[in-house]
Amino acid sequence: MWFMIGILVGALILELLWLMKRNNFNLTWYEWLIGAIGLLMLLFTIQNYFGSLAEVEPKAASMFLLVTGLPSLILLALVWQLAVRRAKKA
Amino acid sequence: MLNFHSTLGRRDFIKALGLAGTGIGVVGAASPIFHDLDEVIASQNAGHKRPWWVRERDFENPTCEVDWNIIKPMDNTLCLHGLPFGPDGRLFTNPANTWNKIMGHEYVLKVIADKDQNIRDWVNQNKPGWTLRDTALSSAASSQFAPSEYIHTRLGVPLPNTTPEYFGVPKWEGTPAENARMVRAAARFCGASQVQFGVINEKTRNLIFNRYAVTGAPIIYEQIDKAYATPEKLVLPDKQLYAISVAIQMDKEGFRQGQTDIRNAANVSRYRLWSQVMGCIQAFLDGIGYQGIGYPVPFYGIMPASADAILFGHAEMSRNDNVCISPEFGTVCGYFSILTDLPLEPSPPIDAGIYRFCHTCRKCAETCPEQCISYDAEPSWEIPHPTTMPDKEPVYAVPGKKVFHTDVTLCMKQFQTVGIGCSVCMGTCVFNTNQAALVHEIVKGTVSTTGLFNSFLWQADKFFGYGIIPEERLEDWWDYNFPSFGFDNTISASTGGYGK
Repeated sequence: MWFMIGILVGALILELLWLMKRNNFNLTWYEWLIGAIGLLMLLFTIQNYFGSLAEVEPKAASMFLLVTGLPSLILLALVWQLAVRRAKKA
Repeated sequence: MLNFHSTLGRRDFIKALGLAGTGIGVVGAASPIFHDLDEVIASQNAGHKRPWWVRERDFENPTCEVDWNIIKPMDNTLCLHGLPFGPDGRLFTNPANTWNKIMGHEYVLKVIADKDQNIRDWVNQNKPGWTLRDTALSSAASSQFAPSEYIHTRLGVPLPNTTPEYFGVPKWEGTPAENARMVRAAARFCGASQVQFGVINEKTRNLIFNRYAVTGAPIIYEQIDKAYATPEKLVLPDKQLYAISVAIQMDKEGFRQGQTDIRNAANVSRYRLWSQVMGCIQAFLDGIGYQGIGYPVPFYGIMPASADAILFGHAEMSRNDNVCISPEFGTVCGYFSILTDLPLEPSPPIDAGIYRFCHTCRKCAETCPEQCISYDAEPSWEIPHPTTMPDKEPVYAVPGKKVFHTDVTLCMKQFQTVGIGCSVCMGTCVFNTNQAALVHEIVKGTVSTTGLFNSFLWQADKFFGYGIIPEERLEDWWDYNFPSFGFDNTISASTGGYGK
């Protein structure tokens, strides 16, 4: 599973870098930081969600979506909005 | 502007490749290559690899304080199981049994009669966890025990034992460390989940009972070379002995079923497995010219197995002093001990922050149906009297341990009321988790490193819904596809690509 996730994340980062190059914009250091934390939390959520389902712990699986999954999406959305709004201003 | 251009030249690349190749070659040369079993057991790598967050402590100094000046050999007929079998052959129908003597014979007979009636009612009502198939599983799990013997005689086995005398060769000789690795390999092959070792010295000798729980036979020492038993006594050789402490896992999901017959099946399975593993270890020791001193009767040995598990590094004490917790196996694991004259390198007690965690966590105490587990903030040397019989002495407990004292008389009542066991405390414990979700390793590493988050982690465990499963999901157990015997026997494997 980690192999597939690694390939997927690698592809997404490559896509992001390609988009940044094509559209000629950069992310600030804190946007990289928030994005990295959001991504790590998202990966943590995915692993524990499926791990908990495998352990026959459906409530724990749902709680991971809520406790770490939701904040991870909020952080990633925050980075996206920060970058988009800064690009619009420029 | 991002820099996508690689500054690595062709020459640098070839140089890096050469360095990497050299590195891999050095690692390869340093890696162990085994040609036969002798080389495996002589290798340090054949030892028992544990998670990084399990630390070793000094010998005879576990995380639960022990006053070795107080610890004395126990008359094990005084434990609640002491002299258990009545004239009808059933457990606890003997008026001379300790639990009977404390609570009263009529009281115990009523508890047993109520239990029998409860089970009949539950099966007739098709109660989840007590359906006909659940009781059949419990019955099946306890139906095939191997012969249990103090001294192995290959009872019922048609093949001869291949001892050194049989072959005309001297007995096996190895260093204690080599012997320990060898016995671990043999025992695990025969079905042990993990094996630890102890030296019987002036302190640990006090753990050996002076009377046997089932028959009341005295356990004595004589100037002999080999142990033997008669109906009147169990005799140990008065020479250097060693303990082999064996862990046998149980079905964690079964224990999450709470007070059900599936839980009973999970519990009794460890004794069935142990009866076979013990005979195999004894036969192995016979085969190399030594002796294994085992359980004269299934369920009942001559040492307190949980004490051995703690002192010899399997596990730590918990809030319920009837239960110990392993870093690898959690609460749902059984422990057994046999003695031997084969020199073995002892394994020290461990500290994984588990007992410290139990100082804060009260999940088992809150969940206990009889409320017999202590809520105290600190453990105590003092053994309290039975809650419902305050005039009776707590003869069933041995002083000299600073623990959270469980009222075992109440625990036994609950144990009997629901068939052959309760163990909700073990099923609900924070450490009764599987290994698929990454969070468990992070939590265990944190608990071992600092006690700062213990309260938070206990509450988080409840919040995330771990523990006993709700009644509507009890019968789902039959639809799952769990591993053989209900547990993952690769947990403590570290070679062959099986280890986690």
